[in-house]
Amino acid sequence: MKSFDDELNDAIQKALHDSFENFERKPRASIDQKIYEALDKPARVRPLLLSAAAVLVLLLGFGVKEMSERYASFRAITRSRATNEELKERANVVPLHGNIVVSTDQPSHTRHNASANPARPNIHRPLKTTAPAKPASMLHGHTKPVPYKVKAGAEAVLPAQNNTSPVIDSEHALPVQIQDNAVAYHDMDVNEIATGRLVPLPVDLAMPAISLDVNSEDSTSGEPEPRPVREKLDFPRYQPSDKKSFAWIFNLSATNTFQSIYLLPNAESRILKVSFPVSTANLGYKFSAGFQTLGLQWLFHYSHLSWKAEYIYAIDEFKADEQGANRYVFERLGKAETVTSKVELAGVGIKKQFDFKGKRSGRFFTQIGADYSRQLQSSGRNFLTGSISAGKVFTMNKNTDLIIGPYFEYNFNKVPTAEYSIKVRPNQVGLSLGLRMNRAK
Amino acid sequence: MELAELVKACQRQDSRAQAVFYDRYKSRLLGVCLRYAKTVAEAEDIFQEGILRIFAKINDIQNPQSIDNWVKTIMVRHAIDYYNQVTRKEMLSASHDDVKLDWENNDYTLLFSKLDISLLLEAINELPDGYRIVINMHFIDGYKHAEIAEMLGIKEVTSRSQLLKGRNLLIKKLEQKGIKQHEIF
Repeated sequence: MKSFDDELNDAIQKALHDSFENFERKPRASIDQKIYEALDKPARVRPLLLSAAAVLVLLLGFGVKEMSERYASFRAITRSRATNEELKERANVVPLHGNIVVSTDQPSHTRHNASANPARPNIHRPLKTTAPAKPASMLHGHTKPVPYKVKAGAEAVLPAQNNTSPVIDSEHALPVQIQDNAVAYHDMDVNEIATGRLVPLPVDLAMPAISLDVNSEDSTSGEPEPRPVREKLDFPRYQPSDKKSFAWIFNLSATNTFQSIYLLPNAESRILKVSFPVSTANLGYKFSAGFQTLGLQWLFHYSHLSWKAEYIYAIDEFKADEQGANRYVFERLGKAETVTSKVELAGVGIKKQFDFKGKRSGRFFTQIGADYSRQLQSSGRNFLTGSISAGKVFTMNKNTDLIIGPYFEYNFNKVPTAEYSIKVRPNQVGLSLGLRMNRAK
Repeated sequence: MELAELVKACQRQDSRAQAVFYDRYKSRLLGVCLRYAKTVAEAEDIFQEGILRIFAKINDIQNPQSIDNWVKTIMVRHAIDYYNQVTRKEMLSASHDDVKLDWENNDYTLLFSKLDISLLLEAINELPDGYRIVINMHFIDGYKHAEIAEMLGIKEVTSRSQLLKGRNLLIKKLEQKGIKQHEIF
């Protein structure tokens, strides 16, 4: 039985509802005018959208510039290596008086009796020489080279300079031209060869050695092979990028939206069922660009997300199933409607990356972050999300890391839908691909 | 133009369609604002901002058939937001004396039936914000207490309590306007 209060409420509700159900009041003409003027104004160019686009373009520009510089450096290094190889080859095979070969890569203290033999012109054999030792400074190309002079009959053992200095035992002196050529290459600073932002390489070319074909038995056959010069031309091993140093960050994530749904109480709701079909309509992407400093990544991002839901709305039709004698089960029928939502977001974010190194498995990373985004469409809704990702780090070169791994983003906001009794929380799961480019040193 | 087409045209920001849409809903929506507002000036403020908000959110509509409800709900929510921003503290902390009603008989079903709507609106407008909003939402717009609690960010029991106090105060105000119980019944 209803209480007095309830009955009074019902009466008032009926009275007020009936009184105000069709209550209308025409706005003043001045208000109409203001509204029409507001509607006639051209759509505002969204400052946030423009700013985000400008920042992305700027960052991309910096990124391209950085990449170009890196490419130039890489080309220069490659050219430098090629030049060094060429030098080595030139120095290896230089005919001298028909049977004398200039060689750079045979450091040894072995002595030979020099005698020309045209049948074996290219034997690279360590020799002793009577020539004075080339000053160490000359190897670095900072002083004027001192020409060789091989003194017949005399013996001198050159002090080994990085195990590459030749020892010549010959009564022939090198022609001045060849000496000059050989020394000229030595004199060239490697930084002159490799232009641009090139890290000086520990290139050390030996002075040419004279290999004379000998008739005598090779007395060096039992000695160990000398270390190849090539080893000294190798690039230094890449060190992992310093995670606290400044770096440009680019990130692209392919995402799939999955939703949590929240049904709110609503007397007028006619929804019988909600489902989320698996569909390509749930796919989206997120592009981020920014920089890393102070151990944190500061990013601007643009996302295009979409998700699909299927609602079944109740209609005024029922199905009655007979369950037995005089027993029926009634089921209300519904009409399905598919709703696809698309949102474009732009915003800012901050991330912290943790790097790990396995003994054999290489480098890994974990990222946690938070983003603030604003919807670019007219509703201008705000989104606050938290993200986590983890995966593998690949070192592309000294200053560039490529990261790849799964990605999860949780949306702290519930997003209203066209149905006021339903809110959804669109979360993202996907694959993230990122590039971290440290500032070239 | 059919309603679905009209909505789609508004979503394309077709200014002619927007004008038609506005003309279709303006009187009804101003009526809603007048109920929720304290004064006509406030109602007009809420109305203007609410209309622009409706056009800003119109892309969210996926089912044009429910547009009437949607439009009204947006305006009600905007009115609530307005008072949340302006007088939320007052709503939550206001302590109004309970008004006791002495009913001489049970013929209250005729209550308000003879009242002029302008007088009724005036009495509603004079209610404190919290009471006025809850009375509007529950008695006129048909929201349940759970919905009111969710939309206003209050407890359900608070909604019931506000409604009860508001109802009694409304009757009291009608009495003050010269309408006695014996005239009503």
